[in-house]
Amino acid sequence: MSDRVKIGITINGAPHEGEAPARMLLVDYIRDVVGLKGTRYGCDTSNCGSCTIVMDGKSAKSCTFLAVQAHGRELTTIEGLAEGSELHPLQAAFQEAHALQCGFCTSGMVMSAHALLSQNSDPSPDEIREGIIGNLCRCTGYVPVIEAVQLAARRLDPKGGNP
Amino acid sequence: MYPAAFDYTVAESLDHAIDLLQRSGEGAKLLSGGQSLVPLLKLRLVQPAHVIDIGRLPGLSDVLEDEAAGILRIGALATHAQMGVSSVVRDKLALMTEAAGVIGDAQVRGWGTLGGALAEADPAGDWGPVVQALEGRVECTGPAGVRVVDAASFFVDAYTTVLADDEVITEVRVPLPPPGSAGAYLKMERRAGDFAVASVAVQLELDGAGSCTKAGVALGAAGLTPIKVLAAEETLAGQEVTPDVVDAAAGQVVEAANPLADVRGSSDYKRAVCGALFRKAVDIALRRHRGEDVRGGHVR
Amino acid sequence: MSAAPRPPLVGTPVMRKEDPDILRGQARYTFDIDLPDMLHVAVYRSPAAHARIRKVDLSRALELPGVVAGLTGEQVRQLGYVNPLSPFPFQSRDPFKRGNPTIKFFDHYCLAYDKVRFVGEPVAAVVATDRYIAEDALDLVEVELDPLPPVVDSAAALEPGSERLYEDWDDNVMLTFRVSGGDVDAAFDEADVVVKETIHSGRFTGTPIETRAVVADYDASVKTLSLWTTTQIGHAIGTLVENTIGLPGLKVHVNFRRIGGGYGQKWAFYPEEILVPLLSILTHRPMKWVETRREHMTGTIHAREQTHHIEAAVRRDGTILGVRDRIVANIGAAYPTGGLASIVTTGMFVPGAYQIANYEGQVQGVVTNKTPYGAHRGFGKSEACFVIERMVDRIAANLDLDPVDVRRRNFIPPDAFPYRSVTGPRYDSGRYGEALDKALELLDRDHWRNVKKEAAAEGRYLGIGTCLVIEPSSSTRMGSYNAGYYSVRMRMDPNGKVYVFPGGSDEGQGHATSISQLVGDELQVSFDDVMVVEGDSLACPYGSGSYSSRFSVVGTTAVTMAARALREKLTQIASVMLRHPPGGLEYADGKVSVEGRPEQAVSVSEVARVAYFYPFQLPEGMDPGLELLYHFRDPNIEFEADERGRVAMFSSFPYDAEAAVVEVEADTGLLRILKFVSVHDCGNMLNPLIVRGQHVGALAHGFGGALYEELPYSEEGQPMAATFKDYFLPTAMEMPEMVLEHIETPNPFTPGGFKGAGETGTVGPPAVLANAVEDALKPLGIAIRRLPLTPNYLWSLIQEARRSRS
Repeated sequence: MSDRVKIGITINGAPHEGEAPARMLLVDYIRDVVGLKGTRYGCDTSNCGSCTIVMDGKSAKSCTFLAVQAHGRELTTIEGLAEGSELHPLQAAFQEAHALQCGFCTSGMVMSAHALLSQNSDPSPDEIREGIIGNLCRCTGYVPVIEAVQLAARRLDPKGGNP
Repeated sequence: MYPAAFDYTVAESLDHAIDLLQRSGEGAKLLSGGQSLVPLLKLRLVQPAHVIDIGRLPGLSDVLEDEAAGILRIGALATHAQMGVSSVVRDKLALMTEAAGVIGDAQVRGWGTLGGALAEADPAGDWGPVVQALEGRVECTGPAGVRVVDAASFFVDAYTTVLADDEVITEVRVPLPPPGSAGAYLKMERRAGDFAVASVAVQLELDGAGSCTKAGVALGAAGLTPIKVLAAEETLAGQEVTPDVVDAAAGQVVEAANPLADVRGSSDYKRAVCGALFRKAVDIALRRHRGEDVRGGHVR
Repeated sequence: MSAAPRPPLVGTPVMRKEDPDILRGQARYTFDIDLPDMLHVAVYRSPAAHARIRKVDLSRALELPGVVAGLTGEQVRQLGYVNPLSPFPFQSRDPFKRGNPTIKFFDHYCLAYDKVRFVGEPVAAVVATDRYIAEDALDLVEVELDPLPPVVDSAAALEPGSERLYEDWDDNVMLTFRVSGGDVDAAFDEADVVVKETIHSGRFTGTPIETRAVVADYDASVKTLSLWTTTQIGHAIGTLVENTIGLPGLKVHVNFRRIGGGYGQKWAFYPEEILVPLLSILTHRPMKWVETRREHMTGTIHAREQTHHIEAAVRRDGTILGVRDRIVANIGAAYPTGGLASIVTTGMFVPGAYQIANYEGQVQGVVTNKTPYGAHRGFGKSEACFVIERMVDRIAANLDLDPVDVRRRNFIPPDAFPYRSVTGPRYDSGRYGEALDKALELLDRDHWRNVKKEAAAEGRYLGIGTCLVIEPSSSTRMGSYNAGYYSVRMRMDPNGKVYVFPGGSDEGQGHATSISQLVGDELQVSFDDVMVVEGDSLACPYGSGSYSSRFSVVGTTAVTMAARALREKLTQIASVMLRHPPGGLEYADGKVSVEGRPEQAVSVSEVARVAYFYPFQLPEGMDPGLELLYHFRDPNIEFEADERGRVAMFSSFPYDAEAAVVEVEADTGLLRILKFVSVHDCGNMLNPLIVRGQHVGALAHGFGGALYEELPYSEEGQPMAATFKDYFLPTAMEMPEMVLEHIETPNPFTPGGFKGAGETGTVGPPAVLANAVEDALKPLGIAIRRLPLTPNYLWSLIQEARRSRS
C-alpha cells in the first residue's frame, strides 16, 4: 500500500520505467514524466477526448486513467504514428481533408480515428461519427474529419473503403 | 482535474480485494475500468483514502451462456464493448446489445465495466433499467461468501446500492428469455455520449398469437434509482398488446417516473419522454417479434 | 518569349503548412510550456454569486508541504504598484466623442477584495511545486462571505430599488447607446400594420477546446517579464499588463504563437494575465496556470444574452418601413472585455440585409451577478440577425405572406452597393436575392412543400425555413487597441526566401498558409520558401490582434501591399543591374527580365544579394536590404459617430443564405434536420479549402447555439452548466448533412476582394432553424421567441398550444 507507485509501460514501442504519485492521471504522466506533450486535455469531465491514446489496441482517454493503471501496458500516442519524416496515412489524410484547424483536439481525434480503423477498416460515415463522439472539436464542424477518416480508410485498405 | 491523494493497492485475488476492503472500511473504493471512478476522483467528488485496483483480476470478465441454469452469466469486469459484440447477447438479449452501444463513447465502452457501472449507481446509468427489465440478479461476494440480489432491489438511492463496504460485485445473471421474446432499450440524450434525458427498457415475452405473457419495464434517469414499473408490467402481461393496453401502461410509466429537473429538461418533460419512449420501445419489441429489423438504442 | 506565368496559389485549395507539426504532436501550446523551477498556480474562485468578502485566510493552505506562496485581493492592493485591470477596447469614456454611448466604470483587481460579483470570480491564489498540491491547498483556503441578494435577471436588475452590483452607480446600467436614422415616427404613422415582438437570444459561448493558460517568467535583473498567454490580442495584453502592474521599468515580452481556438473568448483582458505575472514577480520563479474546464465555464466570458423589444412598421405588401428595437443585454459583472462593443454592434445591425430607411435602436448593457459578457464568434451581429430574421417571418405570418417574398421585397438590391445603411456602415457588396434563390433551388423547396403536406396529413410537423444573414467583419473602434490598421514586416533574405512577421496572430485560421499563397504569387517565390512568424510581441510589429475576421480583410491586404512594395524595390534594383528602365521590366517566375527579351534577366535571389551585399550599386537614396514595414489602414471605416450615433465600424459584409427543412416530434419535442443548405458569399476565396473549413466549423458553432448550448443560472445565480457534462457542445453525431455552395462577390475595398470568412456560418442556423420550426408548428399557432430550440422548449410550446386549443 503506497501513495507512490512504480510504473513500467511501453510507449510508442519503447519501454519506459518511472515513478509517480498514485493519484497522478495517465495524461499527466505521459506529458510530464515521459515528456510527450502532444497528448493534451481540454476538460475535466472526460468529455473532450483530446487526451485520447491507444492502449493495448483500444482507444482510451488518458485523463480517465490513473497512470498506474497503464502499468504493463502498451501505449501509442500521437508521437508514435509517423515513421521518420513521413506522416502516417491517417495524418496525411487529416491534412488533405483540412480536418484540423487550431489543432488542440487533433491528437486525440487522430488517435480515436486510428483505433476505429484498426477495428473497422471500412467504416461508414455513421460508424465514423459514432467512433468520434468522444472527441469534441470546436473548429472543424467534424465534416472534414469524417472525410479524412474515409480517405485514410481507402488508402490503408484499398479493397474496402467507402466511395 | 487533480484527484486528492490516496493509497493504492493492486488486489492479487478476489479474497485479497475483500480482505483489503474489510481492513479499509468505508474509506476505500474499488477501481476496475476506472471510467466511473476516475471522473469522480478528478472532480474530487469522492476522496477515498484507499483505492483498490481489481481491474485485472482473472476470471471475472467472461460472458457465458449457462444453458442448464437458463441464464447468461456476465463477469463483473466484462466491458461495455465486450457486451456490445457478444453474439450470445445479441441473439438472445437485443436490448443489452443496444444498451452497450449507447453508453458514453468508444473510449468509455472499451474500458468501463458492467460491474463498475452498476456499483456506481448513477441515476442516469444505462445498465440499471436494462438489468431490471430482464429480471437480472447481481452476485455480490464478501467475507461471508456470495449473495445474489435481485436487480429490482439492488439500488437504494442515487449512487448507493445494497453492496456492503466489504463486498465486490462478481457477476450479473440474466435469465435467458424464451423464444418469441423481444425487447428494446431506448435512450434519449441531449447530445451523443451524454447521460440520458430519460431511458426505457422493455422486454416482452410473446406467444404465437402475439399476446404478451410477461413483461419487463424499467426506466433510467427517471428518479434517484432505476425504476421498475411493476404496474405497467402487470397491465401488459396476459394481454394482447392493443393500443388501449399500451396507452394504459404508458400512463403507468409516466406515473411511476419521478425525475429531477436539470439542464436536460423539466420534471414534467422528462416524465412525458418516459411515456413516449415506452410507446416506441413496445412498438419496436412487437416489430422485432414479427421479424422486422428495427433500430433501437439512441432516439434521435 | 517570356517565361510562362506560374499557376497562381491564391484561389486554389492549397493544403496547410501548419498541419504536419500539429499532426505529429510537435506543436507547442501554452499548456506545453515548461520552464526550469516552474511553480504552479491554483485559483480560489467565488462560490457565491454576490457577497461581501469578510475574510480570506491562506494560513492553513500555506502550511501544506509543497506550497510556496499565496495571494489575496487585499494583499494585491497593498503592494502599492498594482492598478485595477486596465480598460479594454470600447471602454474609453467616450468612444464616439458624442456622449453616446454613455459608459460607467468600475475598478476590478486581479483578485476580488471587497465584494464578489459572480460565481467563478478569482478571490485568492496559491502556488505550489505541482498543480495537484496547489489544488490540495485550495481545499485549505478559508473564505468567509456575507451573502448579498443576487441580481440574475436583467429585467429585475433594471427595476428601481434593485440591489446594485456597484454601489457608487445609481443603477445597474453600464452602457446606454442610441442609434437612429430616417424618420421613425413617420414610418410608424404610415404603416398598414405594426408587428411587435419580444425575442430572446440565449446565453452561450465559444468554449475553445484549449482552455486559457498563462505562463510568466519575470527576470528582475532586467525588469523583463516573459509572458505566454492564450490570447487573440497579445500585443495589447503586453501593454495592458504594463499599465496594470505599475513597476517602474517593467517591460513585457508576450508569446502567443500557438493558440488552440479563440472564437472571441480570448479577446479580453483576464485577471490571470496579471495574477500569474505578479506571482512570478513576487517569488522570482517561473509560474504556470492552466485553466480547468470548470474554471473556464464561469471564469471566462459568456455572450449572446439579449432581449429585444422590437416593433416593425410594415405595408400590407410586406415592405418594412421602419423598425424600433429596445435591446437589453444581460452582461454579467463588469469586466475588461469586448462585451460592450458587441452589444453596440447589435444595435447597429438589426436592419440586417434589408433596405430599412427608418430605424431606431436603443441598447442597454445591464450588469448582473453572472459571468462577464464578451466577444463571441458572430459578435453582436448574430443576435441582431436572429431578431430581424425572426421578425421577417413574423411579419409574413401576420400578413399571410411567404417569408421568402418578404425577404426579396426588402433586400438591399445588388445595384445599391456600396450601400450606406441607416445606422452608418457602408456595405461593400452583395447579391442577396441571387443567393437566396440559389439556396431554395438547392433545397428543392417545391418537393419539400409536397412532403410537408403529406406529413401533415399523418399528423406530423414538418417545416421549411429560410434566412439571409450578414456578418459584418473587420471592425474598428477609435481610441482602442482596435484602431483599423494592420501592420506587417516582411523580409526577403539574400537567398530569396521570404520571412513575414504580421501584427496579428493565429488561433487556427491558417494564416501561414494564406500568407504564403499571397506572397508566393506577388513575389513569385515558392510556397515553401515563405516563413511566417506570428504571435511574438518582440519579433512582430505591434498589432491589435486577431478577431472580427479581420485577417482576411485588412491582414491579407497588408501582406499583399508589403509584398508589392518589396517587389517594386526588387524591380528598381534589377533595373540598375539590367541597365533598363523599371517600366520595361517583367517580374515573373523568380526572375526579373527585360520585356520581350527573356535572355536579359536576373534571378530574384541575385537581385536580393545585391540589395544586401552591394549597397553602393543601389539606386540613389535607396536603403540597403530587403526588409520593410507596411501599415494598411482600412478605407471603409469611420472613427467618429454622427449626432444620431451612426458610424461605419465594420468594413466588409459577408453573408449567407440558408434554407432548412425540419421535423418536430410532438411527443418529445425532438427536432430533426432533414435538409440544410447554405449559400455563402465571402467575396473572393483566397483558399477554398480553408474557407470551406471555416464555414463548416462556423455552421457547427451555429447549430450548437441554435439547438444545444445554453448557460442557464439558478435564481441564486448559480451556473447550471459548469462543465462539459452539462454544457452540450455538439459532437459529430449532431451535425446534419449539409449542402454547401459558394458564390463570390468581391470586396471592392481590398486588392484581393476577400471578406471575412469564419463567422457568418455561426449566425444563420439559429435564425433558419427557428423559422423552420415555426413553420412546422404553424398548425398549432406557435411562435418561436427564444433560443436554444431545446426539445423541452418545443415540447412545452406544443403542450401549451394544445391546452389552449382544447
